[in-house]
Amino acid sequence: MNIAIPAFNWLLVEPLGLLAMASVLVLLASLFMRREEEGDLAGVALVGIVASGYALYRLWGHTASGAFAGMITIDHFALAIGFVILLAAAAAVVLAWSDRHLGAEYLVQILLATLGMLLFAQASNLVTLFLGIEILSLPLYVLAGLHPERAGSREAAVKYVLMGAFSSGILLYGMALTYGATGALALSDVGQRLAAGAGSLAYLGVALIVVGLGFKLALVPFHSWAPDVYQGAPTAVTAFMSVATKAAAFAALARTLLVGFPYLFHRWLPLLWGIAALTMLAGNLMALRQTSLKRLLAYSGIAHAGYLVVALAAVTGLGLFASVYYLVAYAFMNLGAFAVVAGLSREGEEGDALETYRGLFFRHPLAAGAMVVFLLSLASIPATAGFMAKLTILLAAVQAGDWPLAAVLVVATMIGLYVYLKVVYTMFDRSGDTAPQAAAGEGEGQAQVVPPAPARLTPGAWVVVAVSVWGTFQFGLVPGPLLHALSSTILLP
Amino acid sequence: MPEVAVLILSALLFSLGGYGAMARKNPLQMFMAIEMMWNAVNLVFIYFARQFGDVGGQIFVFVVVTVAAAEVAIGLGTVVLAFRGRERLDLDELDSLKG
Repeated sequence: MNIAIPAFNWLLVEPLGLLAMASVLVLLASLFMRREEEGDLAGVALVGIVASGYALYRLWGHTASGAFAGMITIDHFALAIGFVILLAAAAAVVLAWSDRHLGAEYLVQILLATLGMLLFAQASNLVTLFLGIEILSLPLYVLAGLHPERAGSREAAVKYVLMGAFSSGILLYGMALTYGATGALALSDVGQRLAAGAGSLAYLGVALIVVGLGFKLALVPFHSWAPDVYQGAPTAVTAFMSVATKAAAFAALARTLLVGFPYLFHRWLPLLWGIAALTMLAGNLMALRQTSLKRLLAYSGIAHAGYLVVALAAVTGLGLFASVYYLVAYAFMNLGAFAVVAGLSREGEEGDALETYRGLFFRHPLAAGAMVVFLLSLASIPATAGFMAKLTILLAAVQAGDWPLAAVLVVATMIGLYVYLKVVYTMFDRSGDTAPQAAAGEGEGQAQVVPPAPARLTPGAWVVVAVSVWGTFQFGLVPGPLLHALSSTILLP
Repeated sequence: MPEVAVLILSALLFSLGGYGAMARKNPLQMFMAIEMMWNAVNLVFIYFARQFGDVGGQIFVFVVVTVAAAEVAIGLGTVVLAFRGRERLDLDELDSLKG
């Protein structure tokens, strides 16, 4: 039997290959190192991530549709999302640099999850889509359970695995029904065959795929796992998950719907409208009554996924461009906020409870100041990246005639403003500063009293905070260059 | 076997698995139920691959089975980690995260 091996352009998967090589290198090197020294391997991981980013950069302008026999598509949409994912991965590595609890296994899982996310964003075939979601999920299950001392971390891992496997089952069933309806696995073939007409199999298929990906994107009503997992996982992992997973899953959802099911858009668009409105409102409303900052940021992340779906529901080039711009802005402000949380964590215990932050400004003026910038950007106050990004989404929605969604977005943003300002107020509130903490200082206070946060942030956290502050202002005050780079290149995939 | 019969059988298996995953509190039973969902998917792929005379669906089944094995390996690892030192395998015992 003759098997013809087609000629592949291996350069297209260079970013993925470099990440795989870095992870193997870290794994092998860790065998010859003592446990305390393993943290230094973060340098190797960081080099791998930067090299992968450079490889992505070199692919800019050399796009390829349906490479590797239709398995992946390298377009500017996938490349831009790839940069966001690598940015989050680099932040996760830097944040954990000085954390002696997280050894080589942490770095390996981060690198492998990043690889899966890049693949997920590029997948143009149902097989690669499934492999991408699993390659990114399996390391994340382990990462969520990595915190050595807290039972909550192991609990988060179990809940994440169960929800992940369950949602993958739903996604797979949707893929199987789509295959049954069209006989094709490549997204472009699926799209072409559905152009001739579609039956109930295809309708059910696309609905189940949206639900399956909705779980990964933590859209309401498929969000229930996210707050538990975000709170339980080590903060560096939460920062990585909240940005990179969201970017990758959004890219996959957009590509699947726009390439695979463009002719069924009258079926999935109402579904997206409902999910987007519900996600924006429920995410912000539930964030209102959180007493844990990580849970609050988790619900805020859910709401932000809703804004992204609004951009997707516009089904225009502007909408897609707005979503990428939003993801860039979201990456900076969210990584920064989580970096502050991670930096204020004590040995073995996390700076998690909102009460820990009462009067923070008077103890850590710089950290609190940076946090204010991130929170105001998340609330989309003008002069920040969050504002410009949300404005673009609003423009896209209005241009597409989605008036109801645009109205819901504005209302949800106003609720969100209250959520974030509440945290800002807590940080500037001096009243709680005296009574409970004086008691804690005496060491005789009630057991529930939260001790003040440690004296200083870790150097890694400072680096991430500084870069994030820069990004938040850069893309809020001088959005021109980024707008130009994105708008000239991002077309419907 | 007619198409409708296969689809009904797989839908039954899938909903049975989905119900089990939601109704059970024992993580091991939940994993078994989820495996059933995944295998209902495999049935659909195999049937249609045969109908279309297309090898793609069959390859997909191999991918699904391989990934399922990896997923369960990690899943059981996390279950052992979380329930070590506890007497009962009951998801309701994991209640430190809520709000």
